[in-house]
Amino acid sequence: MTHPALTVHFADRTGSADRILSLLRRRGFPLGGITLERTHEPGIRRMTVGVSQESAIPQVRRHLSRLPDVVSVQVADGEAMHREYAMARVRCTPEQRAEIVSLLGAFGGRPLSFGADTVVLEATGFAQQLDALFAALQVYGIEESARTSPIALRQEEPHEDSPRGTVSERD
Amino acid sequence: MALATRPMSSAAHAGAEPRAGGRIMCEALVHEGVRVLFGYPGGAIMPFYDALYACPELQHVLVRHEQGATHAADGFARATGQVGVCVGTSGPGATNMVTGLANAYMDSVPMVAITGQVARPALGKDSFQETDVIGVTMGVTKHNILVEHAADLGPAIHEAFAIARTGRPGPVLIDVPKDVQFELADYEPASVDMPRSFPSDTEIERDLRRAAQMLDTASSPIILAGHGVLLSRGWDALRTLAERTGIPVTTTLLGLSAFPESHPLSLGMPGMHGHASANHAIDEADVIFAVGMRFDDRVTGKVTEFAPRAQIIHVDIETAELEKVVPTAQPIHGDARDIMERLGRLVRPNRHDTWLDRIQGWERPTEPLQDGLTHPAQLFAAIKRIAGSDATLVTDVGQNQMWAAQLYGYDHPNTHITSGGLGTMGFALPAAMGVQIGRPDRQVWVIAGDGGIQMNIQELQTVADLGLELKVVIVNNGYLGMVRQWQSFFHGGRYSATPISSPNYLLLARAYGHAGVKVDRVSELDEALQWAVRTPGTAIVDVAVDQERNVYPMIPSGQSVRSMIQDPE
Repeated sequence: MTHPALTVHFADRTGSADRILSLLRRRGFPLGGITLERTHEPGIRRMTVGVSQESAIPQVRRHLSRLPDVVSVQVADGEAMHREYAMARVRCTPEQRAEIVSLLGAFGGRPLSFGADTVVLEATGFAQQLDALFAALQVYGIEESARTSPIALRQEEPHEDSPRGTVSERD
Repeated sequence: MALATRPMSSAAHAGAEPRAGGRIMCEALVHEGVRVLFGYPGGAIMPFYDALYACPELQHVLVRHEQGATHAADGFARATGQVGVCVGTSGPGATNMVTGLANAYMDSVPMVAITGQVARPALGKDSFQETDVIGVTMGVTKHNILVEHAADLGPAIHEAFAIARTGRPGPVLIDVPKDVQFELADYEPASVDMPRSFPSDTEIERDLRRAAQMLDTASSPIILAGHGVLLSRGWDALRTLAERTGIPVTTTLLGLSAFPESHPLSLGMPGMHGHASANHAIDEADVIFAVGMRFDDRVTGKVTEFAPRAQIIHVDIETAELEKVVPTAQPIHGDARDIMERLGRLVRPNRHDTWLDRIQGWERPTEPLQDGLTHPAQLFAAIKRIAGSDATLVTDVGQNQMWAAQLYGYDHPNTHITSGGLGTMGFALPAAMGVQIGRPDRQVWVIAGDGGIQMNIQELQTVADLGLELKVVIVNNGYLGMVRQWQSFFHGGRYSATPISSPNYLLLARAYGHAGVKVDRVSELDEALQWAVRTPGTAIVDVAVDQERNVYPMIPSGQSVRSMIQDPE
C-alpha cells in the first residue's frame, strides 16, 4: 500500500532541506520514503514525505510548519497521485530484446539503450506497479537498479482545513 | 554598574555608500534596538569587533567563556522581554555556545547568537577553527542562517530577530564568514514581520465559549499555568480569570511567579517535586485549564495516569504543542494573555469553596525546625524576609533549584528565573549577570549548589568588571545533591562520583574582588544575608546544609501521584 504523504514546499536556502530532514529524524516520526523535488517556481523546492502511520500526520505537519523555511505543508492522501521513477540495467541478449520491450510496455516502462547483452531501462508508476515490474525483471537478472520514493500530487488544490488538527501557518 | 563605552563617533547612521559587513551587522543590531551584547572575540569574528569599536550604541560585555555569554543573553531576555544577543568566534567559540542555545530553545527564550565563520574560500576544508555550526546547532535553534554575501547581512539579522521573538520565542543563530564581514555592500534598515496566522475570530470565539462553559460547569477545576503566561506578560489576565472563576492555580517551574503564591487560590508548583496538594488537585480535577505550558514529563509523570478524571483545555501559541503529550478536550491556538483576557469576559463569577477545602486537606503541615545546620525551608524563608519584595531569584539546577521553587513563595511577576527544560548546571551565575543588566535597579540573587556554582564560576570576574551587585547564595552540601538523592532512592545508596569538594569560597570571593561569608549554623543565617544585602557589590554567602537532605515530596520518574514519596521526618 502507498503511504499517505505530506507535500512540503520550502525556500531553497542553505541548509533548508537539512533542517527538514533533521527535524523528522530528531522527533522520531514514523516515516515512509522521502523524495526531494524541484518545482516550476524559482527558489521553491518540494519534498514528499511518506508517513507510515496515518495518526502521526497532524503532529508531523505541525512540526514541519514551524520551520521558517517551510512555505506550506499539505496532506496528499488517497485522492492524490503517487508515482515513483526507476532505472535499471538488466541482462538481455539480442534475442530477448523484443520480449523485454513488450514486458516494459505492460508496466509503464521503456528501454533507454541496449548494450551487447544488457538493456538500460526506465519506468514510472505507483509502488505496486514497479514492484511487479522488478519481480518480472528478476527473471532476466537485474545488474543495477535505482528507484525513487514516491512523489505525490493532488488532483485539486486542497481547501484549507486550518482549524485545530492541522495548521494554517504560512500555507 | 558601569559598562565600558568607547568615545568614538556613531557608526549607526544610515547612509547611501556601501560599507563593510561588520558595520552593517552593528547598524542592523542598533536598528533592532539592541543596546548590550555578551560575547568573546576571536579570529573569525574580528571584523565585526572592529566595527563594534566604533559603535558606542552597542555595549559589549566581555565574558570569560562563551557559554557565559549565552546564559547572560538568556537572562537578559527573560528579565526584559527583549531579544538577548550573544557573539562568539568560529569553531570552539561557536561550540561553546551550543549548551546556552539548547537551554534557550528548551525554555522558549528569544535570543540571537552571532558567530564568526572561516572565510568562504576556506569553508569545508577543515580550516583552522572551522566547525559546521549550522549543522551542529540545527537541533537546538529555532532557525539558523549562514550568511553568504554582505548584501544579505541586514535582511538576515532582521529576519533572525523577527523569528526569535515571534510566536513561541526561541534562539536563532547567524553564522557569518570572516570575508563577508569585510565585504562591502549597501544596507537599508528594514523591519521584518513574520507572517502568523491564528484561527479565525469565529473559530476562537467558538473555542472560547466551549472552554467557558466547561469552566462554568466544572466542580473541581484547576488552572495549570506555564512559562507562556510570563512570556506573554499575561499575569494580570491570569489573576483576573482565577479570581472571577474562583479556580485555584498551580504554576509549572517556569510559570512560577506568574501568580502570587501568597494568594489564597495559589497551589504552588505541580510535578515531580511539586506540592502534594497541587498534584492531588490535578489527580482529582474534572477540568484543567492548561495555559502556556507543554505537559513536560517532570509535570505529568506517567502520562496515562496524569489527570485521569480531567477534561483538558489546552492553550498554546505553538500548535505543535497541542495534543503532543495528552489528549485534549478543547485545544486553543493562541497567545496566552489574549486568550485569558477574552475568556475572562465570558466566564461567570463563581466560587469553589468545598473544592478548595479539599485541596487544603492535602497540604502537609510544615515540620518544626531546629537549630543546627540550616534547613532549606529556613534558608528560603530568610531570603524572602531579607531580600527586597521585588527581588529576582536566578536559580541553578538540582536540589537548590527545587527548594527555591518550593519554599520561597514568588509574589511578583517574573521574579523567578531558572533553567527548566534543559536543566543546565552553571546557568544561574551568568544568567544573573544578564538579569541585573536588564534590571539594574532591582536586587538579583543567585541560588546555586556547590556543584553548579563551580561550572561557569569564571564569570565572577565579568561580574567584577561590570560592578554588578549579585547576592550569591551557595547551598553547600558537599554533594551533587540531586544525583546523590537518586542514588539513595534508586541505586542502593552507592554514591558514585557525587561527593564533590569545593574551594574556599571566601578566599575565592576575595580573589575576584568580591566579599564572602560562611554560614555554618542557622543562627548565623539572618545576619549573613543582611550583611550580603548591605555589602556594596557582589557578595557570596556559603551556606552549609545537611549533606544528605532530600527534596520532598518526590514522584519518581515515570510514576504517578500515588507513588509520591513524602518526607519521613
